[in-house]
Amino acid sequence: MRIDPLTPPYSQEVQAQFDQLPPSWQPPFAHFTVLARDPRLLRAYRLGSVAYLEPSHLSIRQREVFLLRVTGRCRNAFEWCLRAHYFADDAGMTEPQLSASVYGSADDACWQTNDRMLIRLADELHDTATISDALWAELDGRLSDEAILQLILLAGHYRTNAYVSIGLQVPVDPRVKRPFPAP
Amino acid sequence: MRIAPVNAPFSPNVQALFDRLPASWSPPFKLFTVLARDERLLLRFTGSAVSYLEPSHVTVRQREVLLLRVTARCRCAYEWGMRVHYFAEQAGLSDAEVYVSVHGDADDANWQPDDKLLVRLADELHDTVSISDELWTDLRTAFSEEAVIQLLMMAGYYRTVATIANALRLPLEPQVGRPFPPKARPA
Repeated sequence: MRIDPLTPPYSQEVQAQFDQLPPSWQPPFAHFTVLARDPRLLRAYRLGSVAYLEPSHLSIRQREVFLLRVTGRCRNAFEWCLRAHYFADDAGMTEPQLSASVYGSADDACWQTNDRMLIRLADELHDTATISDALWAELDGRLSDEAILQLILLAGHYRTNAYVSIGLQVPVDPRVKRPFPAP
Repeated sequence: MRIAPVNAPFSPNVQALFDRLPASWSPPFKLFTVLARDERLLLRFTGSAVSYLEPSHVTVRQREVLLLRVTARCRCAYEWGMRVHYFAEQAGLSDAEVYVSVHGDADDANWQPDDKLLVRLADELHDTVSISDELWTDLRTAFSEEAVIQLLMMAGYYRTVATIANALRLPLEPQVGRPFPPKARPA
């Protein structure tokens, strides 16, 4: 890594933040321990995620198809592998879909009909930082306004994740069971 | 606008947030009132900004050079224009520098040496979602490790701002918004 993460024992302030993470995320991932160098940065980063709202405007399937694509397009192996490890089974992702999330397109035969719109949204936001009239017409009516807002915030947060993970060269967590797909 | 913002009266949590914002940001921007459709989205979004930390790891000038470039590269006049309105003078940015944040590049003669590094950072993140070894070496000569992390988080956050504004077709804010400068003809 280009910047050393904190190592235990952590300050009381940092430990209190780590204690709020789910037990299955312990010990904390390296992007958290490097952001913890300034606890204000860690706190802001964690707040910025709207992935786990209860109730959510999105199903787990919708969220994970979208985030695998967002992280896949960024070539963010660190976060893509975490998502595949923790959520791919719950989201019903198949092996061809996992591979296509990185290297495929919205038109690939492996996707379900409802997945394609999410892949296109991730792609347009990645490539243009906006949404075309054609895609908007498709989103509007099939997703609630709030679901669209949640998706836009998710794309932004996980792009920030990519800047940290790729920019600082955070390695893939050794606990994950799937490697980042090869081209 | 593609999604209708919420109008006053706001929920107590949203009103409390708006009461904490600087007086000069009132009435609240549509960026905020549209996210207020679900107050959890608004509160998480505003709480995750690291641009106004006190103390900060970067100067106002460093922050604003980066953010003008990030928002300009995203073609987001909505946020770019407000940054110019609120911060260009405090950041000591000349009209020529404001202009090249949109129409120039890192090699433009108008930039000061430290500025060039921030423009390169915004450009590499926008274009490649990574930082080359050459840029990394230069960054670490000029910035602390914490400053680099703060810059990365700000670049990501303001891409999110730009995406919201672009995707929802937010119109420029009255009084404080301004469009991009037209591209000048070559002399």
